[in-house]
Amino acid sequence: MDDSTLIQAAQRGDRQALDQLLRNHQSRIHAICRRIAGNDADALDATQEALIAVVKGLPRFDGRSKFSTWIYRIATNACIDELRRRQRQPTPGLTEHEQADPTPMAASTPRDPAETVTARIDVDRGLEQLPQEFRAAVVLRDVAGLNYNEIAEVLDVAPGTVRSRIARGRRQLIDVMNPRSSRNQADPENRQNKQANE
Amino acid sequence: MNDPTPTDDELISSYIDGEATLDEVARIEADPALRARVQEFQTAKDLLSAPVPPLPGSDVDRLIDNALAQSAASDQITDLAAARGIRSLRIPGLGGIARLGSPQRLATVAATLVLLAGLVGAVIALSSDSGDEMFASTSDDSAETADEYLGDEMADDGDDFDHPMDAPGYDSDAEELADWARKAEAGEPDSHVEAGPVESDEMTAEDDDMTAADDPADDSADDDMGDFADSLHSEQGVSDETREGSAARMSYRPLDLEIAEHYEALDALIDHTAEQWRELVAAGATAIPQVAEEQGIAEQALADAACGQELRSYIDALDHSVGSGGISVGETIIADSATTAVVVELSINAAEVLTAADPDCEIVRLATLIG
Repeated sequence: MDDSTLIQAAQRGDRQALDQLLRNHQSRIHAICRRIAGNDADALDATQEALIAVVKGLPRFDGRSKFSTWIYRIATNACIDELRRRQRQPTPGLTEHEQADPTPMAASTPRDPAETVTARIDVDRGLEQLPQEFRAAVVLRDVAGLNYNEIAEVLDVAPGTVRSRIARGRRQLIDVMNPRSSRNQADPENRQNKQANE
Repeated sequence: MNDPTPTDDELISSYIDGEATLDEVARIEADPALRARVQEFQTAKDLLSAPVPPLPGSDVDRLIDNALAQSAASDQITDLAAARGIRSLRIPGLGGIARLGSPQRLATVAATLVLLAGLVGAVIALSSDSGDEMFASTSDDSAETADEYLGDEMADDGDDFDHPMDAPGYDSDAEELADWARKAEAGEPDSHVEAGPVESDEMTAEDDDMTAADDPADDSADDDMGDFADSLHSEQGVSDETREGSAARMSYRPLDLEIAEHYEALDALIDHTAEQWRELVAAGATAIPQVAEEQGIAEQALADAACGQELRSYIDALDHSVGSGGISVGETIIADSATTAVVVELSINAAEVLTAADPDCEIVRLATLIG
């Protein structure tokens, strides 16, 4: 059964259709939340909030936007809200040692399991240091696979802003994960961002 | 070779996303510096695109179950706000409760209770001038009693009985009602005021098989039933007279239990409902029968409802009228069953909430509200 059939059935109160709809999209929602939240526990909470938000909002879904766009908007907002709640609580930051000597990003996609684990930690660490609006844009592009127009709709910004945020987000990510990057050494804007994050 | 600029980064980023224009693609492919930078961006993109490990199936089930359960509870409460002023109200079916786990069932029952309490509230009349005289007995003490009943009656949820008089909780309640009425008339403080708070765990007793022998109140239950019936009929008689005399002076308007869309915990929901009820009673509110037209609608709705015949028989046995129009039947979330909920006026200021669900039509008493 396709999404549109499930949506209509779920909006009529068919609980099984709603269940199936959530199952169809939960993995993508969780992936978005996992990347935005940066750790498993917060991602789980955020995913729960997102699923609840989807169910509550479904009666108001009118089909004017793609369901995937709509559901990712809800998921993103839920995850960002969870992130804000987390940020209001005291959380341990990176140690000075970690800040001074982050593990450099591999020059290419890692191939063995140890490298994969390292890369995953690096991705989380890198994303954590991105401003929230950059992080959401990058995650929606690279994790959810949305195009720029869809991301613009999800984040309610212009497509040009999306393009800029993704580019700046990726650049900062590279700089955080690979401090020996020549760009990292030369770019005064990046130094400003690092100082702001610290 | 110049450092790439932010504009170049946007160009590169768009390029690897397939969002660059043909001119931009040509520019990148013609510039070795930009091509080198493309590799860095592509690596970052690849890392981010790496699959996130999926959640274990048990976590997925739990997340989805929670979402569905919380949504159901919230929808019921939300629907109340939307349905204020509507006499016949649809609610998601309680029939699905049997298929839920205990906490979910508890939450659903509680949410339904709140919904139905709201219905009671919606047909409460707030006495404008005669209320102080008529309902002087609806003091803070009786309000406390209402609070206690709210919890005690929920604890009875799920008791099996074939006839109203066979219901173990009924005997106990009858005694309490009669006791409450006696004390209220005599101006005595109610013993329930001193009782401890009702623990939410008590309300999970849907599977208990409490027998008459288990209930200490049953020792005197048989004797008290007669008194209770007399008391109810007496009260009903008084209410009829008083109603006729004071209807013109009464200011009927819906009251609102101010149920929120969401509560963090079941206890909070229960506490809120009890508190709202208490405040309404303290302000002179009391349950009244529907005016004739509305009562007719309620009766018709009951006749048409799932398990309506069973509920009608039960109510007839109680010899009380259906009050408040609180009839709801469903097009249910669980599509294989439907539940009817009805608020029955026991006396001038007491109401009982009953539900029954297909296919068994077992009548469940969700709550008694004493105003």
